[in-house]
Amino acid sequence: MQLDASLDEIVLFDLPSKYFAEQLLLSTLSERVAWLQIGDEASIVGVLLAPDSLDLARLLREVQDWLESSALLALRFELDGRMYVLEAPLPVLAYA
Amino acid sequence: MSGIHEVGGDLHNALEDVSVPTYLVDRTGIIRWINPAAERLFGNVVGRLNTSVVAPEETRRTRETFARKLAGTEKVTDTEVVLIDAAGDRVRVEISAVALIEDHRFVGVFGQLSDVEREAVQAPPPHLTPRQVEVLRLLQRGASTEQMAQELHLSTQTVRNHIRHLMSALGVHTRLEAVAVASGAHVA
Repeated sequence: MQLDASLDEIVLFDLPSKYFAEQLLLSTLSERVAWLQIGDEASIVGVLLAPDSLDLARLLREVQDWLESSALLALRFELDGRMYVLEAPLPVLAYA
Repeated sequence: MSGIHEVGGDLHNALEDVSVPTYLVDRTGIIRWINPAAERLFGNVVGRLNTSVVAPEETRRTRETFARKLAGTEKVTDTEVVLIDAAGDRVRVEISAVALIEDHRFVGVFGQLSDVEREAVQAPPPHLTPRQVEVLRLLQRGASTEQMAQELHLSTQTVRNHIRHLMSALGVHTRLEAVAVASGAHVA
């Protein structure tokens, strides 16, 4: 199935810091076309979706697993100019 | 907290009437509610992203701060931020914001503004990067390298690198000169 050409094929994840952005890139997204946003927006990670209608779901599952292993509760991501929230599978910690 | 329930009263109406600009942002970063004091300052910005009312060089820091609350690594923040008011002027404010939690889930951010400097704040030199602007603002406040590292969530070495690049971009050799040049003073 082809992706809708009107939709964006880039997902942007907002991370709490550059450290977490680098961790996400290195540990989870190393097999994908992914990058730290250029300039000073170093805590934002961009990911190019594969031309496969299931790739977004796959990507979100991968990042959700990383959230859990990183003890983060949730991340915000941007797709098609809209903001969404991806939560860890279960609440994993209280605020420090 | 129990004292609030004991006293009773209409807290919602109190937030509407209080003269401190107050806002509520949902979990995706959309402004969902502002009180009249905030509306007088920024106009009706309900329905817009929170980053839409911050100065361009503050966007990255605003996103990071929001991301830390969403991720659960920081519940409360007190930060100085430059915002854009309804007239398009830059205003410097102190924002105290707290993550709103329900059933262990982040549902949004509640914040209040104080120390609103209504006079126009000078825009930073346009060729500086957002990070350099942040460092410059902290230098202007007299922050030490360690304080900047803590505020920006960076190592002290990285902060020193940013300061060095900032001074290079401004064509100066000391932190004091950087502050003076950014403030419009002529440095001989």
